[in-house]
Amino acid sequence: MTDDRSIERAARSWLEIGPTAAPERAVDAALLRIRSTPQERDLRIPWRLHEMFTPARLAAAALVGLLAIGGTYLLVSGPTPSTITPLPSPSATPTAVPTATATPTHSSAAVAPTPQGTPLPIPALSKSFTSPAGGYSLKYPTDWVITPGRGGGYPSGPGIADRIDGPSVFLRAFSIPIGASQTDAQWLESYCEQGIGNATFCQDAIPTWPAIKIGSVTGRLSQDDLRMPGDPNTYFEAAVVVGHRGYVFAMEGVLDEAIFQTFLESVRFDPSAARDTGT
Amino acid sequence: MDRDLVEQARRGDREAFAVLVHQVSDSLYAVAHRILRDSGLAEDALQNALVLAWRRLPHLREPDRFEAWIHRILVHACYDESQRARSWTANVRVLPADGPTTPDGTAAIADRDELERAFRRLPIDQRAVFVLHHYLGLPLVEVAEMLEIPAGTARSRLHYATRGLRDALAADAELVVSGGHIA
Repeated sequence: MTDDRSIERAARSWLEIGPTAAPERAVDAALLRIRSTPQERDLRIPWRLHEMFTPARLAAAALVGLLAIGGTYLLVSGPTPSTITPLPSPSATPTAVPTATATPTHSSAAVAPTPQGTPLPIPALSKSFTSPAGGYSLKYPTDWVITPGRGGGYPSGPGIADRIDGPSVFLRAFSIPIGASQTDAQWLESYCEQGIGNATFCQDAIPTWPAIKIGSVTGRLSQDDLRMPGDPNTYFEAAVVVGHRGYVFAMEGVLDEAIFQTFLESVRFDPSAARDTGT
Repeated sequence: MDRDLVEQARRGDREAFAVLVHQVSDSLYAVAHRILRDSGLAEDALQNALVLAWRRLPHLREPDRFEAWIHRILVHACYDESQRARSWTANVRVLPADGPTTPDGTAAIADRDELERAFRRLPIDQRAVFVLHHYLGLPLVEVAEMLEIPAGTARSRLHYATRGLRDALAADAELVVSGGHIA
């Protein structure tokens, strides 16, 4: 049978067939209706950070991700914070999105950059957390709250991944064993296909993922500053294979790559200590 | 897109909005038609989207984003039209195409009618992502932004749309090859 690429090619050609101009009657009818339609008054209050982080929104996002088996792994892996107080933050001024291309690209190619010239303060990582199931440890700030995950598989439900909540940002991490016959590269492909995109997308995207230091090893930055225009929150995710285990670390909220990198550098791996009993 | 026109329209200038409408309506209609696969539904979606855009225009915070914003309204209008149309299309069953095909489905891929049938079987939200990505050529991150959905969800919808097309085409091909018929 046909593959996805040939279907996409055929579908693109097929989509080209069809009307490219709106019927005048439809436009005229709309303009006629508009003549007698009042505009709504703009009563909206200015955008606030905590709107992004309400439990309902995060829970809804998690549910959508779970149902669609889409999005990134870590958004569906645990309960949401009750309240997050914004840090002194960068400007919420909307940033431009680079010009469109039709080719699937690494996510960093089409997201807004971290606000330039206003690096966020890097928190002091003074406490150490050893994952009870994940086979790793990392450092975190004193006042952040740990919610250990039970591990044991892909975070397809709450409580699988470890979670560390700080003000306006949180980190999630998990690890899973790689199948006996699976290579590291194959795991990376399956990780991409299960959490980020389809096979075609992943084939193009994985080679573009930048290298990033995670502890003493080099991983791949799979989600790089995934930010929507006007939104101070962003998302980073990195994956690496150590000791035939796949590890995934992600941070979401008000942060930049330097902060993500700081947390990643504090990671120490101990694959032999991992427990796979969660699911 | 002329930012001044958008600003004027935001302040209630109907003439300015009419100019904007003429600038975007072709693209909006083309997208609606490709999502809904029906001229009447696409016209209704276009009309409703334009009227709703006019009403909500004062809420638009970024005039430079007008085009993406109005496409989002259009896609939601398409969802509504699709919902309305569902009641009378629910019992319509498609028939396999007549004519030669091959067991591997290669011929079916080239067949416009088969694609049409396969596409109509997709959920409307998958169709929308598919059209925005493959027809307008928007990267998935922009599609996600336009539809206000997570980027991963946009990727998933595209993935499942492609898979849905593939499966539907395969099913059609198999049905024809085996001489089966859909009741």
